[in-house]
Amino acid sequence: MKSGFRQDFPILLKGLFRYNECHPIFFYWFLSNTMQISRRQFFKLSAAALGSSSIAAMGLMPAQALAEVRQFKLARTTETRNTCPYCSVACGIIMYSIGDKAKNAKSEIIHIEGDPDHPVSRGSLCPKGAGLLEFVHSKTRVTFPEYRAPGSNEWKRVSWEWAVERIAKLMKEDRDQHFIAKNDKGQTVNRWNTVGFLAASAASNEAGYLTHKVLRSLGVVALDNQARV
Amino acid sequence: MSMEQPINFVPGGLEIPFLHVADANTLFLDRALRFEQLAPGHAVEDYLRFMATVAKGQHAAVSQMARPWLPTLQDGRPPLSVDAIGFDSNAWLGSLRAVVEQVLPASPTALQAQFQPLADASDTTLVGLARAYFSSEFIEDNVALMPIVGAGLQVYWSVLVQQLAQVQALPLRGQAALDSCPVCGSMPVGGIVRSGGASQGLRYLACSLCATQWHMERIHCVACGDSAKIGYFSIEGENGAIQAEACDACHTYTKLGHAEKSPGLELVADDVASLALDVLMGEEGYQRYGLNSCLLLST
Repeated sequence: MKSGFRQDFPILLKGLFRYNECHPIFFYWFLSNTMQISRRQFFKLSAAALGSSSIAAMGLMPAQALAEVRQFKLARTTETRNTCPYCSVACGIIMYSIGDKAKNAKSEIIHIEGDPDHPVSRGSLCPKGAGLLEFVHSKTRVTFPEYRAPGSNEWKRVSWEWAVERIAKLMKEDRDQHFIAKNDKGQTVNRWNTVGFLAASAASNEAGYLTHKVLRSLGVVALDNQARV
Repeated sequence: MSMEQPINFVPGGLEIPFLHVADANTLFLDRALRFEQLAPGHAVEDYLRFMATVAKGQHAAVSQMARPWLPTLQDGRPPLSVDAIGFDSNAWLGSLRAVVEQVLPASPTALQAQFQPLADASDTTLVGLARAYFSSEFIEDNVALMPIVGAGLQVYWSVLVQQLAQVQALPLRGQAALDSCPVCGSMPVGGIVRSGGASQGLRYLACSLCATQWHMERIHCVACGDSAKIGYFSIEGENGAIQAEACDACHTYTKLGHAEKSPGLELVADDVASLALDVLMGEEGYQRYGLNSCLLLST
């Protein structure tokens, strides 16, 4: 097959539009075919580059200016988008942290506020959401499962595996004992109504689907999550 | 804030205004005042003071400017791009000459001699300088003149965009790429996190030519769009009113000013005054995305 610029041209244009790092100015340039003006320019400023700046060219760069610049140091923060974990409104938040991950320093969240770009909450937070920083840094925040045996007044740290297995065992025990396959009229109902389940609030669609799939299959009817608000 | 007219302002509403068009009648005066405010004791105090003089010249030139002619609007490109305005028409030459006329007598004696060629220049020479400005061809021979050339072009374009706003022909969200001005296609100076009204806490990029501000979601690299490797740098010990939003995906940064942390913030002036941050970022290996006519480098 013959191939030439004329044939390739639409493909070329498509390519330019597909990669968003490639500015549509190239497209304008092809169309207008007048002159090439690049709107994307990158500069690297340094002490040396300042010597060739408009400041120096006007003779307004004092000798000590560079020394003054040099006495400063950079501080780095990071901003991370997330979703408030409290309720199903799922307001957008921005978490500010210090500590350069690239330099292996310990990072720490220093501030949390509403995300003004978030389409649902547009930067606003309720008092609970506004207090998220205290939640993150709370001394009483539980970050691993704990177990208090019946009759005991002591919490013991346990592994996730242990906790999941224990819960599964107790669920099976209860289900075996209380599961109702048929009602008194002999109709199939498959209910397990001695156990209720409170699911997460700010869960994704996928998590919500899985919650239903697992629990309804077991026969759980008392199923709730905050998505109902 | 009196200096800008929010477009499609919805009080307390959820809609994010896409554009804020600068009021050309106050823009340059505010800039001049900010330069003067930032100058005392600054490492490049005299330069900041001279930039205040230039901005005052721009302010005077705006009031002298005749109502500009609006180009025929075309789909698919920023309506006031330099391609749309053209180099053949000398529509913007008047503003450039007006700025030169204002700035020259107000300049220090040493600079008057340096800028005299601008006053004596033919139309062809000025068009040549404008072309060089638009393609960022800053060389040793012209870099001292370019802040004045840029100033003249800004006067024309900032008045022109107001005309466009009046006939409600501004571009809508999604009609243009966000790394350059949706109205005139020029590079941004940098970003401003605005304070107050429907734009509270939102990041707007400020055009280096027509001063229009356009909304771009925060924590996204202006140059490459990446959002995963963004870091914010500021000068240690300062309040972080001026930051460099740096992207480790493309090793580029854009300056970001926080209006709430710095009352009176004027991005062009605050950007020049925070050049120490640029030098430190450059020495960290980051390149700058953002054009400021008041601080140009020759290559």
